[in-house]
Amino acid sequence: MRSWPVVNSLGAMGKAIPGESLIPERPDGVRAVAVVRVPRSRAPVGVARVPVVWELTRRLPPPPPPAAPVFVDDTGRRGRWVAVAGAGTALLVLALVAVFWLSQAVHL
Amino acid sequence: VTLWVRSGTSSADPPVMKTRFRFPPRFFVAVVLIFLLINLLFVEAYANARFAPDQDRQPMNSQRRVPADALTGGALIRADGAGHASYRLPDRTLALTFDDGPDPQWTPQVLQVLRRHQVPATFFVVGSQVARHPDLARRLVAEGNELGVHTFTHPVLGDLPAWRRRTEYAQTQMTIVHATGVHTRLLRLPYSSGPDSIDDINWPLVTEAGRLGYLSVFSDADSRDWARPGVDAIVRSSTPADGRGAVVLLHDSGGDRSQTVRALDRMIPALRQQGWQFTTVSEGYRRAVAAAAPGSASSSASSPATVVLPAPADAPAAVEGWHGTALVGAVQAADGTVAVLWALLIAVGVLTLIRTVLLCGYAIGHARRRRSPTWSWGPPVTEPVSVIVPAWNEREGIAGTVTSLVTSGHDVEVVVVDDASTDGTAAVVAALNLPGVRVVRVPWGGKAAALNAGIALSTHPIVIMVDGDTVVEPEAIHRLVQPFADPTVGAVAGNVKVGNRTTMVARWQHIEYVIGFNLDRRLYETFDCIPTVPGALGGFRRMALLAAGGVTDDTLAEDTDLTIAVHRAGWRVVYEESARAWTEAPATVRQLWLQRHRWSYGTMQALWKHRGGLRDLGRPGRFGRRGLPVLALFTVLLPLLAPLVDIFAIYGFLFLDRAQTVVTWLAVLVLQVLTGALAFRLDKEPLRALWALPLQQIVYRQLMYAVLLHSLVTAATGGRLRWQKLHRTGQAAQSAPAGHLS
Repeated sequence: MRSWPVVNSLGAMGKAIPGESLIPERPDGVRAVAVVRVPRSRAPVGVARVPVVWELTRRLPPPPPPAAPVFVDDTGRRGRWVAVAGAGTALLVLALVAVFWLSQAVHL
Repeated sequence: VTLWVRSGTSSADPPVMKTRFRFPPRFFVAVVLIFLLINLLFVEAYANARFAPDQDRQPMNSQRRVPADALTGGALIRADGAGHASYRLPDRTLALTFDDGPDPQWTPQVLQVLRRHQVPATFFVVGSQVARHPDLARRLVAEGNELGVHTFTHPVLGDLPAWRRRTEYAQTQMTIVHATGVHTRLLRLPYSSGPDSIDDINWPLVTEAGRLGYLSVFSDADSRDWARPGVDAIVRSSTPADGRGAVVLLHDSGGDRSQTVRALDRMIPALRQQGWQFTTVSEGYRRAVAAAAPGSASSSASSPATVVLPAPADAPAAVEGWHGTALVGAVQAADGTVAVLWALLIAVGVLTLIRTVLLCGYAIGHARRRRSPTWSWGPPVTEPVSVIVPAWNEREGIAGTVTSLVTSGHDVEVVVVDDASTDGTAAVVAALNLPGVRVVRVPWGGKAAALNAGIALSTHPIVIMVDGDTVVEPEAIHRLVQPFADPTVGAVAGNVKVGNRTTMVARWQHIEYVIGFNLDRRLYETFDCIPTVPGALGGFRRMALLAAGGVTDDTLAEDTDLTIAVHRAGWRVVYEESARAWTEAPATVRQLWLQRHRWSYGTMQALWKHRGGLRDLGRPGRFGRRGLPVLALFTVLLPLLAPLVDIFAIYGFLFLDRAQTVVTWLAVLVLQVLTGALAFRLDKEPLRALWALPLQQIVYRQLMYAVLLHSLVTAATGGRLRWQKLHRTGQAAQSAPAGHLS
């Protein structure tokens, strides 16, 4: 019974030729679609008051490829521009400071 | 306050920490910019700090070494190593001289009077003033006046070494050449008056100036206008009594010169009527030398004075021009920088004051409302709740966390989501064998993914999130969920306290936490814009979580991101002060740096991510309209400008009135202590912890500035920030008062 919903998916039913259902009829005459509609147990999963270690590693779907977080530029282009601008500014500043002090030092 | 590590890849394995020290280019840029700022402040201090107007005259010293004929001779003295000569202007000839300018307010008024009466004058300018107002210097020359050197910063020259004196003259010469294109050979020493006032200290300065090619110009008539004695007195003092030629000393800067302007306007026509002629000092000198027969001038010079003025020993004009350009540029850049910084400092002061008043006022009001016997969130909330504990390598503290949760006074379902720990965190929890606790191991995916897994696997409509290094008080969960009796409440922030107050860094954070949770959050709640439900202890309505889209890893501050999303989904976010948890704060500066870098950068990310909230309408837009601007102002802009307080404290201490600077700094400190004391009172914390607050101003605050700047650079460069696992000792509950966690 547990395997029925998996084997007899609704998608497979949609592809079936009318009158030639892929869902085999069970001995008691109930088709799979009826099985799918059987309500599941409403008992909370895993709320048992005992410690249970679940190994879900293989049960969870693989995570989607990570989208770039806010501000992040994985191409590195922005970082290079900022680095060049920063280094240029720093060198310009150093040059200006050096020129200033040299211009004053010659009068000492 | 669990800290996660996230790598730039989607690998299921946690990243390996790199410990190799590097010196990134951004630090080089930062060091250079700080170096530039220091230089600008130094130039500004140099150009300003030593400036004192003429009224601060020095007491006269002995005159034994001053030649007698120099003391009794004319006001124009040419001296060098070989001898000296004094000259007096021809009879009935006056040279009006103005010191200390140019001044943008008074110099134009003086010029207006001179132009109206067609009278030339000599302006002994201060170099730093010329650098600031080169247009005025140009105008002075263009209108037929001449300039003389009055040093660059108006110091007491006798107190300076020879190289500083030469620099003072040369820099003034540079600025004059830069502004007007002409040299001057006239020098007036600061604080000088008539030649009879030359003393043993000043005389060597006169001879030194002569060797440098300058003609020293004293005065025959001192108007004493700096004392503002009245127009009549200035006119009287400026008029020679005996009809002999004279150099008249006046001022066009250094204070209110309205009397000088009025006296000038009255004096010139009156003296003209009496037959006086007006000339410049250079022209008067030429006439004096030409008129003097050999030996008639009180001269003992070995070589007779020549009609031609001596040439100052300065560099060629072209070289001096660009030297002057550099100097003027530096002074103007320093002036501009300091002016902007002052304006920003005032803005910071005003904002801080407003914020402090708001914090105190609204926090007191909030606390009173909450403690009122009639206050209630609604019917008691007693339904079971789900507690999610995301954990990555939390072996040291996880047992304490989980144990405190299951001994809580509320029915809880605890889901520990072990995010691929490698230190046996899951095993530690399993070994506890506690009822109602599940451990779920998930592939390594970061804190957001762990929280989402926990949300998916938990069942109750109220979800509590607790960090794996946090211990909750027995009543904390029950108290935390009470606000959910109000159906509009979507999230509740708990009161998180530092549990490991064993180091100074942790003590500073304790102060910060108490102030942040008991003042800031109360204010934010009043304005319905709490920005962060802390990951250490926060409650969410499941519906609100789903409406917000769960937890994302778009930012490094997933709690702030989630809280803002809950706001934007239309839910209220409130603060429950009585729901207390004790967390382990970073105990070292390096650990603190790592944590705050993540928080700071993450907050910026969250604010930027939700910038669209500014356009949200209705209730969901309330946070965008109120919270986003307030957060941007108080969590980014104000802290970014806060270093100005320290910069100007150091600047003031070194270069301005020290006592005033210290008093101002102490006043700010007292304000902070009072604010802190209020927060501690509201939180029922002992005030003795505030002893560490003054020390916090010296190291901790500066560290926070650096963190913020680092975060800004990280955002600008677009680099991925790597999170680091902080060292944990499991001391979250160490400082909890006895009985709080039992």
